[in-house]
Amino acid sequence: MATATLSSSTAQPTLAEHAANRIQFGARPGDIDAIDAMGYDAFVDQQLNPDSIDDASADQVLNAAPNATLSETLQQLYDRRNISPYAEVIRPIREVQYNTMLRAVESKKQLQERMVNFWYDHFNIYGWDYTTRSIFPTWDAMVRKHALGNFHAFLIDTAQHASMLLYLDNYKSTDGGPNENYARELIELHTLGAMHYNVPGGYNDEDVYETSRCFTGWNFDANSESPNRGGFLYRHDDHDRFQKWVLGVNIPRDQAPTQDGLDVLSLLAHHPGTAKHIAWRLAQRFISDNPPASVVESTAAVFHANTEAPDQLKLAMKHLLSSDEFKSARRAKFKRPFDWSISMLRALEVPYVIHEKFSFEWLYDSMGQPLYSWSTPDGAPDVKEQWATSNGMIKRWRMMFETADGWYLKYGFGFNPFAVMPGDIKTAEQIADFWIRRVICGPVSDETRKAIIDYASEGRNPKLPLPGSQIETKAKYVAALCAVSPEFMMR
Amino acid sequence: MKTIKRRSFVQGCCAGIAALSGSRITKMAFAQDEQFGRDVLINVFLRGGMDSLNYFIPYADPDYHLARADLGIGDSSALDIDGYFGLHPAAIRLMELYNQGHLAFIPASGLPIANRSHFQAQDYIERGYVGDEGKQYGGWLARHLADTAAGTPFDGVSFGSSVATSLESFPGAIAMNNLNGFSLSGSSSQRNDLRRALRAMWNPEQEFGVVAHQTLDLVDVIAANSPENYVPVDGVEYPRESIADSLKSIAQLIKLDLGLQAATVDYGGWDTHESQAGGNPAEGYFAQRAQRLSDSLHAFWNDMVNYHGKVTMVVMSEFGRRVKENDNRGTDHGHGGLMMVFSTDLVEKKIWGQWPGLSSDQLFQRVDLDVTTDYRTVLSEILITRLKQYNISGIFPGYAFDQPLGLFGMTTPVRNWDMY
Repeated sequence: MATATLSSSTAQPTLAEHAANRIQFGARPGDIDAIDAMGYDAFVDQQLNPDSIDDASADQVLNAAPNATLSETLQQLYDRRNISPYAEVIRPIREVQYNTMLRAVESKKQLQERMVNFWYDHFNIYGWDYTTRSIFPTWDAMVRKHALGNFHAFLIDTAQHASMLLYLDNYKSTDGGPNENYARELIELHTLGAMHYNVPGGYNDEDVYETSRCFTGWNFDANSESPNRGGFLYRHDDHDRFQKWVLGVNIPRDQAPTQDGLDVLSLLAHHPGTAKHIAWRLAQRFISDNPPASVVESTAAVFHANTEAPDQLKLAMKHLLSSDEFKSARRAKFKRPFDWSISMLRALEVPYVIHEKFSFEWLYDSMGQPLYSWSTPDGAPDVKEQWATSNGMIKRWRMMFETADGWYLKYGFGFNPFAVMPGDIKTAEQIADFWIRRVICGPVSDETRKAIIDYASEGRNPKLPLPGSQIETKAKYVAALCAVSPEFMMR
Repeated sequence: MKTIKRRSFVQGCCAGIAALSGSRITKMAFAQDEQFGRDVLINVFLRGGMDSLNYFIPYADPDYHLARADLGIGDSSALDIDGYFGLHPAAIRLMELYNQGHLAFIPASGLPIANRSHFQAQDYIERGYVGDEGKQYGGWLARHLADTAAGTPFDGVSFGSSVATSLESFPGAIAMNNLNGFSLSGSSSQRNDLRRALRAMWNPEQEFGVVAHQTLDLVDVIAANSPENYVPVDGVEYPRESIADSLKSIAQLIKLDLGLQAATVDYGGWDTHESQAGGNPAEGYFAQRAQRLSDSLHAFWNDMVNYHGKVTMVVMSEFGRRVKENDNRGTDHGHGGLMMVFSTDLVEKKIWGQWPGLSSDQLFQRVDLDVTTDYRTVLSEILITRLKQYNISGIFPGYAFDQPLGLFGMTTPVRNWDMY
């Protein structure tokens, strides 16, 4: 038995296991061997080029899920905002939710999904708002399009999307009554970051006020008769035509339509402060809660040097994922609810099911990170203090133990340990080691392994076969304990 | 009496508690600092900016009706309090508590500066510091508990999925949705073994192990006291609503005498930019919300009848809403709001603070109800008189507390806080 490498108080996951924990949403059985066979660098390259990945099996699952609204036009979706029944109003965001959950579990384009998850937090909106919930597929498609693309182009599309215009109130911002909500978050959250507020080379409140003037008149077409309804609309009559100063740059009076706002977005996208802030956020997500300054600086440099490149974000991520800081940060992040839930589903091969009498979200949402529901513009936090709480623990234990016990099997949600565990595995020790190796991505501590063996053996000799009647119960809860082990909580 | 109960709790508490170190048990046994006479504080936060003007209504003011042509609630519906103010009819149950002298209304209260962002206004309030520098301070309740906590699992509890900002940086803070969900599930025959396995896997000396063991302690305590079988005081019926579930859990914790010092409860859904009322301004979405809030507070307060004098509850929101209604039967973000304080020790039955008025020259920036009572004024008086916390400048850095309202009899000028 390879128990010596399986359990140790100091051993860390291999690089392949680290890649599965960080670049993927955890490993499915067989993934580690596949990454090892490919080699780390080749795996990263493949993940950075999602279009090159054959994802036929995921596509099959996605095509079988409700997805009709995902191909509707913006206008078709916009018209849903006030129809009845209500289920049709929110069908679009529900279908995006199904699609997102299924992709995170099933798709081989795992880095793409991680990036989408990252940008949803970075450009956070509240998805369930009136109108937004109906046109949500267009927001999702926009995020997916830019997730590994060019930041400046991404920024423009977020600024001109009705959901952002609504969420941060810019649709109400006029020359007579400018609303600074969007301007402030654009600078504080989307680009320069609070790290550059009131510091030399950064921005101050005057920049916020002047920026809000630049965006007056940026609106969306709310005319239900218009062929462009739901789309970006610039209202020149609402625009403040006089000159402004933003970050020390003069925005001249009477510019062409939308030019003031576009000038600001360009200034911000090219600003070295933005490069540093985005690099810091990426490093916080992918490396550690307080990432080393070295990798933030070097990633920012790549980001900044490629401001015009269509694959700017891919280049920045390639740098980050190739860095020693990334490679050495093994199990340094406490999994957020989404990370943990998806990695559990993947490791135990529990399908995400869509069923009229059961919803995975009933188990998941109370963990505190329901999709598209973070109401404030800062997005769901990336630090352990938010998630390593009593509520976080108990909800994970409950989801896991209920799933293991088969409470939801009649809806297709659950797992059967005998489907994968060979028939000759009969002792407590064998059962424990089988599931530790299968579920936990990397070695476990002696305490974890002993606790799981002790659970399975109930005081008997762990090297003797368990009574036949007990093997199934013990096997499924051993699998469950692996998924709530200290090692599995980390990525 | 209380000591006996605590002892029985410590003994009755299964393997988990018994496994704790001796020092921790000792601390727990002295959990409730009765010798200090501190109240349990419950802080209910109405997230989203509650439209206080349609809850605690200046219904006899013509300016109110000018501004609220569609949403205004007049004397045919409002429950009169003093001829000028009236309560929303859906809040009728609170009238009883007001008449008993157990409820203080403090209109025109809130942040001393204008901040109409939910995000920042909540942050400023909960950190107890008006400004972004407050990030470094953690929460105001956390600073209070740092002085008073006894190290029990229940010193400070946030009812919700994560710890409220007001408790942020208090290491013992826990978050739970309610007691009923706080148990291990799965096969009942396996639960004890699973609990043991979890304890053995997590090292209580390590960062996340602390949380895991704390959670298991809670599971043990709660399992030993079967919250499913909880029976409130005769005649008390909690509504079916998240805030009621949270308050009921708090009532249970208080009655179990487990050392609860402070609890936060979030109740959202107040950001009523549109369609806050139906055809009748006293009905519709806001009325429904107001009723659930009021019925829940009323049920909790009556369920606490044997603990009156030992419990103080504060209800607040990040701001009130614009005096003038908008074009969508809704109201936009405003400034001055409403605070409500529940206690049997209020010295007088009256409406507290200064009412600034609603004519346009009396409004803040000519659009919003002004703030005449800094929210910290109310909290400071509670801290001193009910929680025996005298270090106000430590709890609210940069705030000079020199004008108490006198809810609990504090007088101006403040000289010797120890006398309270």
